[in-house]
Amino acid sequence: MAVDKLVDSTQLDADLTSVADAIRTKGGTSAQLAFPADFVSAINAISGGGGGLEHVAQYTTTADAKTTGTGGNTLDFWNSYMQPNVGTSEKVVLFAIVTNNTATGGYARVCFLLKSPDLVGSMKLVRTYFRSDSQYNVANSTASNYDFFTSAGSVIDVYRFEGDLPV
Amino acid sequence: MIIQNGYIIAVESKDANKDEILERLKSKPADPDGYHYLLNAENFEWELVELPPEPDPEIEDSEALDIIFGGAE
Repeated sequence: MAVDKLVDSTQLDADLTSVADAIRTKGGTSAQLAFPADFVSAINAISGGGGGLEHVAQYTTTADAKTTGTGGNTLDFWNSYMQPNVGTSEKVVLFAIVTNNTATGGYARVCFLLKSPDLVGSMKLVRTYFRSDSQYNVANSTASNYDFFTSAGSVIDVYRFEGDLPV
Repeated sequence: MIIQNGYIIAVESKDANKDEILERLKSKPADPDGYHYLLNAENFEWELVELPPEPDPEIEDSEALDIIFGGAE
């Protein structure tokens, strides 16, 4: 490799960090990225536009959901804070994966699907998948209080899916 | 950042204060019976708050069976 240019290493580090930050934001991760292999892998792992699954947000809860006054009322949480991520398309589903959830009662990990029953109405939780140890239990979840509980520190990754509900 | 009644409920990965809040989360005290600690949105300090009453689940029998047996949509 020929050494034919001098660079400002501080500036280079800053530039690379800014690129890495953009990749992490788009890919929904906070993982350390080593240049260049991890950059390439992370970019390839990001789904493109025009449909498919798109990571739109990552939340970390700082309180037990059951005890925040919303009870297990996930719908409040979703309607108030995540519906803006839905946009205006007819066929948009929000899909969330919850990790680091230590809430008791078998709700070790939960992922669920939501969709807007109409373009401007409130969202409806249509499916909840409870994972406890080794199996998934699927529940119909149109009610609120038993939908799921999350402990403080749970990480909720939200994905936006455009298309027919895949269940 | 998601705030309810003056307390932080969740922090988004894009939030400027995310790292500070997650650091505070590591020092969250254990919740005593009937109370829980919530993070004050103003000063990022944990505050002991009395738990609200348990909501009535109001689950219909058929819904409960659906949950137990993995019912259809």
